[in-house]
Amino acid sequence: MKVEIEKLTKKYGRKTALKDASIIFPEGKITIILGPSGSGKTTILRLIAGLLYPTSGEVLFDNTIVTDNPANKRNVAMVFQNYPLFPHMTVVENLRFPLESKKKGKLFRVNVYSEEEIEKKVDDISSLLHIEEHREKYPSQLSGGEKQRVAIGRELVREPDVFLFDEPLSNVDARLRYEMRMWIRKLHELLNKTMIYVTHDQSEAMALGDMIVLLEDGKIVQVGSPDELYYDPNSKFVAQFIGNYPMNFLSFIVEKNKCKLTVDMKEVLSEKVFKYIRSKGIEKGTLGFRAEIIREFDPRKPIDKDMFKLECKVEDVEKVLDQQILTLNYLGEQIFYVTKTRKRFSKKDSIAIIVRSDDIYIFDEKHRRV
Amino acid sequence: MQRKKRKITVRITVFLIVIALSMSASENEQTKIGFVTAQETNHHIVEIGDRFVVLNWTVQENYTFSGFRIEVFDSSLNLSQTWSVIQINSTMYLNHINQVNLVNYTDSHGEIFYSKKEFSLNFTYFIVPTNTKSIQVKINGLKTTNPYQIQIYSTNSSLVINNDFSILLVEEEVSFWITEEFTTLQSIDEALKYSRTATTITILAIILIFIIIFVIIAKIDVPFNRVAYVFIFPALFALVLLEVYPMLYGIVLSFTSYNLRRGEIPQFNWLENYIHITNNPQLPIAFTTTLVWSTVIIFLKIFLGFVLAYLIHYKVKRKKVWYLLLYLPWVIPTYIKILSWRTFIQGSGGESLFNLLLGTNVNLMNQPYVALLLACFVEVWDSIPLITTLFLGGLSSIPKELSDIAKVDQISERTSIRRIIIPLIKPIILPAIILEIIKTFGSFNVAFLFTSGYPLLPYGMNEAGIIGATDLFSTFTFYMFYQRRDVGIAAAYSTIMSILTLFFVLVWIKMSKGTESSFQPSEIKKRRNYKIIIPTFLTIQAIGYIVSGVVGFRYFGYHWNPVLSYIMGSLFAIVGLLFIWKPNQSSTGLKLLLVVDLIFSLTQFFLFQMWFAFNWNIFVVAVEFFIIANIPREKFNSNFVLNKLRKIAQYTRKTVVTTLQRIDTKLIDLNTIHLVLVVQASILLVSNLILGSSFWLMWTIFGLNILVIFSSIFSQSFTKFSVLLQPIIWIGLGFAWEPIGWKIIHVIVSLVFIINYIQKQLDKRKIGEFQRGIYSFLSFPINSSVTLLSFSLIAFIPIWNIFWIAFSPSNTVVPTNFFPSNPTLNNFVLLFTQENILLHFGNSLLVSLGSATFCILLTVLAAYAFSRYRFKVKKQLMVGVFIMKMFTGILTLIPLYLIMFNLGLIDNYIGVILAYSTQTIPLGLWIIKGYMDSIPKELDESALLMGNSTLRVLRKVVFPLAGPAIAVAFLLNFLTAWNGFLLAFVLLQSPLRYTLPIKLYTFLGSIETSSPEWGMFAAASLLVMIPMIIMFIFLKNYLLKGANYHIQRGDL
Repeated sequence: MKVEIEKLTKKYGRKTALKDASIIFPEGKITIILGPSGSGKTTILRLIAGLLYPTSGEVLFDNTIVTDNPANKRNVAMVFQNYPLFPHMTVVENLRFPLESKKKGKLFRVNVYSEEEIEKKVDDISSLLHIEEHREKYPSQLSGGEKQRVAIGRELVREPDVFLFDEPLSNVDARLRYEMRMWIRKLHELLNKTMIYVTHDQSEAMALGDMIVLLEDGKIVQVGSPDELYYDPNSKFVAQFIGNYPMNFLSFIVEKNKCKLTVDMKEVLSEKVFKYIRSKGIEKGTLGFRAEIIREFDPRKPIDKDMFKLECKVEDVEKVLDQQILTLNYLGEQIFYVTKTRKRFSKKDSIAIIVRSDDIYIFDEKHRRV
Repeated sequence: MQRKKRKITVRITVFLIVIALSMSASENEQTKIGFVTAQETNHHIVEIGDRFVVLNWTVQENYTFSGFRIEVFDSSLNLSQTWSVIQINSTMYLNHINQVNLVNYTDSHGEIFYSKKEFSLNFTYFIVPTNTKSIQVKINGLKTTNPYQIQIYSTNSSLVINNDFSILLVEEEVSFWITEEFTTLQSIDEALKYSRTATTITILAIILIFIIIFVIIAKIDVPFNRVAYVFIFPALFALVLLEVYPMLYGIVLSFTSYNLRRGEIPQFNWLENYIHITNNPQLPIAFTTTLVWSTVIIFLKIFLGFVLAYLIHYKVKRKKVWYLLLYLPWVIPTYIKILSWRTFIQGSGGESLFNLLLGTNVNLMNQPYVALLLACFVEVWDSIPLITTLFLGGLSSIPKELSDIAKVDQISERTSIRRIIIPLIKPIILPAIILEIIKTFGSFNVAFLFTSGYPLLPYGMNEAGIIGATDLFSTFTFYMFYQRRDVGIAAAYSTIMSILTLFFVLVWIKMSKGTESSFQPSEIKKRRNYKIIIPTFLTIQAIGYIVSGVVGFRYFGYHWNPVLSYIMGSLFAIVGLLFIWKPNQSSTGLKLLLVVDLIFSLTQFFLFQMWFAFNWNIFVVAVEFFIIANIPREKFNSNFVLNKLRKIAQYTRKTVVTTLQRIDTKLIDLNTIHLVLVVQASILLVSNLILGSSFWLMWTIFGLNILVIFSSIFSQSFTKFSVLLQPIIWIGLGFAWEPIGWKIIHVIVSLVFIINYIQKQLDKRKIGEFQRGIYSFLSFPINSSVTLLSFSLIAFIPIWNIFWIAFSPSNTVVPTNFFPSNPTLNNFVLLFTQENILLHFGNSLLVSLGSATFCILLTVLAAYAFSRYRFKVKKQLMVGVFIMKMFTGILTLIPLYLIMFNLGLIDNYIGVILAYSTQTIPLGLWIIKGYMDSIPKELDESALLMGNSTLRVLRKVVFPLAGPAIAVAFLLNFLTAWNGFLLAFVLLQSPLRYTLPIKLYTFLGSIETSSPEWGMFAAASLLVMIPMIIMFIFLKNYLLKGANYHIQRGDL
């Protein structure tokens, strides 16, 4: 089922949680809603689920407006962050509950599924999820992963049209998280249903998503595939948010036909970049480069025209297994540098780094990518 | 014998003759209700009511017959019946004037007396002395709008008194006086019929308006929230109908001339009721009593509550046991507690266990100060568990690290209480305390059940009746309504009380807002221009003092000595003038003056003017103190004279301090031993003073005690020998004929001393294995435990008294030994056979269960809506619902009664159920909502997403999960209805429908009743108490959980 939101706005009192958001969630795909906390991602999810009513705008399922339908009339499944299993029901009862909840009829409502059908479905799902041995346990007797599986299983039995995930893995430890990601991908292949997945973790978003919607302060910043977001960020915020390490930024200024860095007024940028900047007509801006693409300057190799060199001091060294994350100081500006060399650095060491012009992103004064 | 007498009583109470008296003759016939004078005029009918008639006749000097027989002739049935006989007897003693009994007469000097009702096998009779001049009789129990004729015969009869029974033998009689035929008035019930339609229309209109408002708001709000409106509708509607509407109706009633007794159609008389009230000298008396009452109780409550909570939280081990001990008295119904205190303290006419134990001579009927003080004590004891719980909640919210830090930093206990604990719990506890103030202000039970307003005050009397020293605003209003049936005036009193309550409510709203946001004050202190405020205040005060001194106005200034008024007035004027020129210098003088004024005013008030006039000086002085406290302190740059004075003051202060310091260096390190010694000395002093002990031994021991204290604070070795005092005290106790109560107290204190002594004097390193065992046993925090234990056990003394009475064979109040000498179950048997107590159990159960079920149905729905939806005006509604709770009780009683009446719900279980069900809606809402907030929202959201309807979600998910809170709320309402006295008392009228509280009350009656049935009352109390205690012990975890809930939220 195709899900669409159209100019959706939600205000809590004076605070605007979501502003004029329009997205089309393609059918049968996993769409990730990504953003820092407080950016309105869960609000979108709840608006789609029908748990919140928008201040303005519409929600459409397969081109029909469902804004006024409450949650119990939308046939949507939602997996919450804290796996809300009913604590007063056993695992089986938890799995049966959604099936028993399906009713038909206008005034005299009866169950849709017969007792045998319910039995069969519950049996199927518990064998699929490997929770047969926990059938008679209460949720408080289950481990975190088991709870999560039961919670997902409870939504699976219902055969809903749309799956909504509200940060389901944020309470799970790192090892289990990989397993669960794989699990969700498998599930998606199996069901081929529309899934909307909310997370604040960009690596999770990259790993799962067919499409990522990035939010900031209730506004949509960029929509695209994971690669697009990583290699082609449309703003400084996106560039900063996506990626394992924060992007490095240096501001520059264009003066008398020369492009200089603001910190030292040096002309380091290559001709190619300068031309590009001039063609866009920017006078002030920021250039960004990722920590992963920085190379250490090797005096034996000459630098070519496309590169520029920065002489820095090592401020801090963090060693994580085979990687070293160096915090460099370039005239008071912090630059992160990730390397896998075996060479040991210590504080106050001088180091020269080189960055290739192709790897530079240029942002204007309003932090837009140019 | 008792059984026979009972049968007669039952027969007679059906048609009871009440002969009553009023202390002053009045011109207006219609106001002679309740108290009527025996006048010296000839035979005449004084008053005809709906169900009663008052007759008055004169007895000739040479009256030869031995009495009168009163016969009532029912003209419609042609049936005459003898109702009672009045016997003239020369050998009777005169009853005290305060004892309101059933006959009144004047003697030859025109003095008024009451006579006592007696029973014989065939008639009830009253005895009057031979010198009786006139007799007044009130005959109750007539039918309404029915013709009657009363025939009085002069009789010669003799009273034969046997061991077991007495019988009246009528020998000869002559007709004395036959009244003209009269018709009784229309009853109140009939008179009220006209307003039935009005009420119905009003209620329908309210329903309509309410629904329209609701629909409109629901339409404005978003579609998803509409279900929330459906959910809160029933609860709100019940509240509006049973709380808001009566409140408004009461205000309207206060502007009408509505008197149920007169049975006329009420008319608007605008402010006439209020004018009447302000002219009534009883208003200031009731106001004074209420004010003194509230102040004393609140201070005591806060002090004791804090001490107990502090001890439990910081001082003792095994907190759970103490909690249990603290809560146990809580489950005993309030009315039983109060009535048992009355049994314990007052007994029958001052003959009580209390007086026996302590050798005092307390009588609540004629000692105003003692009565008020003891009533306060009972009220405090009744609410101690609650207030302690509040403080415990506050204390447990203080992070433990803070008190640890205080200990590590060597901050003394006193400082840590003053500087850490109190500032931290203040914002949490303050709103709750204001709620307590409101509750105390409107409290009714103690004043009604414990003393019934007695002792009566001579200047508290007017044509409307008489007011007593313990009559509060609430009981006075109730009396106005219940006895006098003067709805208009009673409603006006209620309205005044509501306005006073409103003041506290506003304070509460402000306070709780302040605590919601933060602990820090958010605004900068404003500076006001005190240069104008204070001089004006002082001038007004000065003028007021002088004028009231001249005029003799008793509410301001010094009424008992006008000269003092002049002096203080002129002093205030001088200081006021000085303040304009030299504010800084004169503020010290002003403070001094205010303190002097306060001392004088308080002395005057408590010693000379209590219940006579409330002294507004105190209030004004308090306000001025408040203003002065806000004046920022500035540097003195004073003139020469003041400087000199200040230097002298500083010098004297310095010398005093240095002398004290010099003495202090001589002292040894003081410890608890010395404290216990001082306590012991003061108890000795108090007991000696109270008993007026002329026994030299106890005074000698007291002297010795003082000597020991003085010697032991100067020398370590004397401290070691101080233990020798204890055997002396014991010997003294053995010889002294002190009442047993004091002996027990002395022995306890003595034991505490010895244990403390051993704890202090034992050297831990030198003791053997055996002593070590003793030591570890003694290391128990004995002082705190004994304090706590005595506080919590005092509540059980009256209970033991009740226990004793229940099993004792005779109808006596004062236990003669620890267990009844030949215990019997007779009282219990009588309860089941004669009094049909099971029926009343059933009544209570029906009312309580019905009310609780109804309440829970409304509350759960509303609580779910409040917890889960963000609909419009949600916050305002929550606060509004809570505020409504503060205005209930006596304030809405009168209009509620009328509404119930008009709906035909008087003397009907449904009426009582409805009335009680709304009582705990606000609190229940708060508890259940709080609990639901703690249930993850995702649970019912995921259930909703599965396609369930909201009701099914509620039934399948929320209801089972919120079980504990719902159970607590259910129990809360159940207990309110089970223990409820006032509403049931007013709304239920026929004895068969009485709930247990009313039934138990009828055994004892109010304090002036001559023949309470102690045994029945005690047995019935036990029957009520025991299941409750058992239930409490089973449910204690649940209850504590629920209680903790609203402690944390700071509302209760």
